[in-house]
Amino acid sequence: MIRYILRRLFHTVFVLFGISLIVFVTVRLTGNPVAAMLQGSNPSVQAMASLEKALGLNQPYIVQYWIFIKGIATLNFGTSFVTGQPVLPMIWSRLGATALLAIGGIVVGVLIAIPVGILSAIRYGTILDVLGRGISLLGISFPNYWLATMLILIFSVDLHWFPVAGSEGFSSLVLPSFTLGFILAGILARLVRTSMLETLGSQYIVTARAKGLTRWRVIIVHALRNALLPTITFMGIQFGGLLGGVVILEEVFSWPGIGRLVLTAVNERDYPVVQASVLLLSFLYIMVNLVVDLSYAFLDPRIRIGD
Amino acid sequence: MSSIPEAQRSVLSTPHVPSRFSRVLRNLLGNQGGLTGVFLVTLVFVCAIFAPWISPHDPTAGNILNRLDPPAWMAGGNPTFPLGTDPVGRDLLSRIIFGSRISLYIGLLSTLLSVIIGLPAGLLAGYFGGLVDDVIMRIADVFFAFPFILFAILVLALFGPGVNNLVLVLGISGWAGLARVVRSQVLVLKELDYVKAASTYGATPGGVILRHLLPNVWGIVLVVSTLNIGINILLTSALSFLGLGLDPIIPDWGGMIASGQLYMTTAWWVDAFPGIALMLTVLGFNLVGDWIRDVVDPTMSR
Repeated sequence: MIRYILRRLFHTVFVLFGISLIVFVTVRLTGNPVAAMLQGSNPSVQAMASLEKALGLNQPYIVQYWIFIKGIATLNFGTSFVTGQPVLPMIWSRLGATALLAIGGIVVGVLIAIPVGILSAIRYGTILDVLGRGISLLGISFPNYWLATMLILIFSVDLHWFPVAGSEGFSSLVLPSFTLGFILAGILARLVRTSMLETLGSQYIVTARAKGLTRWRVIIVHALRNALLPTITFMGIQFGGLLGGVVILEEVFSWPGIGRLVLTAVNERDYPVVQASVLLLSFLYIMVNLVVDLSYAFLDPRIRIGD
Repeated sequence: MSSIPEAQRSVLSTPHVPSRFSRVLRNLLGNQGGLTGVFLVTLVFVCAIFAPWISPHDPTAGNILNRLDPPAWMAGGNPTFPLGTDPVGRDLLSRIIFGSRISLYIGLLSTLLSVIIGLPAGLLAGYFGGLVDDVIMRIADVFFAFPFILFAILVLALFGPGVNNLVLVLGISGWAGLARVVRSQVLVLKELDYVKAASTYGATPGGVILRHLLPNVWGIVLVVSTLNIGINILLTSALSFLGLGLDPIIPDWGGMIASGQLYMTTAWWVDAFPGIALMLTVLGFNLVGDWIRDVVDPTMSR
């Protein structure tokens, strides 16, 4: 197990290296930050050159990349081209806000999805199943930003229950969390249902029932445990989608999260901010998926992980 | 979960196996979700193909005098604009009809691209394991861990907005997810006795993959790709909503919703109708996906 984790951490280094390279190259291809900064002022060649020098952009790419990589190792991601502040604290404060939204969404999503999925599967074909499937289908079919807009229209503009936008405490967390959670629940409930149906049809469930175990014990202990395997994989996969959803919702709700930071940074060609944000989010994502894969072995001993 | 699955029972009781086509058709007629899905998807295709003939107005021409007209049935509504008009006076219905073109085009092509890359990658990684698995999955990990929306923002900032750039971004981002799902399915299948037996009796890796693994992953590939078409249509609209992705001249649902944001409190229809069109399209694909799964794998089903 320890060896497996170590190997995965080694993979992580490789993956992060790949990502650092992609982001380093693409962000530099999007345009020159100096030109973006001095836009409209019709700068002299000297002014541009001195600014480039100050930002370290006059050095060869390989040197710039080396500085970037060295910075990662020492957790020093440089300073923002635009604000002059160190990047890491900038991202850190935004990441908290984003994480809050994501967690809110996951909590709402799981709370809806697991019961709906199980009920749909065991009451298969009944009105409850139709209802459950309806909910999950709507969840995966709604454009999140549109749902958010409609919710704002109804609950903020008309009913004044929640703020239209911003981040003022719990009440402003409700609408974005619900939007995210509802959509996540659509995906999850569907998967829980499908895999529950699959597992419930298999021989060992019949055996367990025949052995005289109670219905609920079979459902929860025998079926759900196995049905969760594909569900959890997909949840790990969905974490990326969830982040994407958060970025879009941050825009709709004017939530001061990392998504809006990156959007602005790309527009301003603020290389250090873009590079560090992408790398940190990727790292987060990889860690979530490491945990997901470790839970594989726990849920399905047929998949041996140690060797 | 008491009984033998429907399909098996009918095979057991009938003397002849019905033709594939009649089986598919009968399945569809007995499946309300599938029927609804086929209806919705057909509707979108009809809109996309016949857009110039069925839309009442030119989707790009507007008259500022008609700006933000409410839907026809509301007070102040104009019967020539059934769903009202947008902030520059263009007919919403016509724009929604034309918007189906871009959604379908991007949704289908990008998913196809993902399957072309992801399916073989997942099969190979899962079956061979070891170094092959390592290399394929590490590359997948890179694509996978790179936050999609940031990847899209960067690439579109780089290549500029455009339909084909969107297909590329979505297709390339989608393959890793598919590969992963296929691989995890193969990992389970590989442990099954009959697959092990096939290898023991000398089946070549290619034979095992094509004969035993591929037929058993089709179901999940179809389910995931159908989801993918819907997801990609949604993502396209989301990127367009963020102002990335598409030329504002082209009518597309996400861009329409974005243009309505400013007028949300006074002209709800500008946001509401394109969103409903988008939702119904994605819903259609999801329902069709469910139905396809019924046909492909009756034991999994319904």
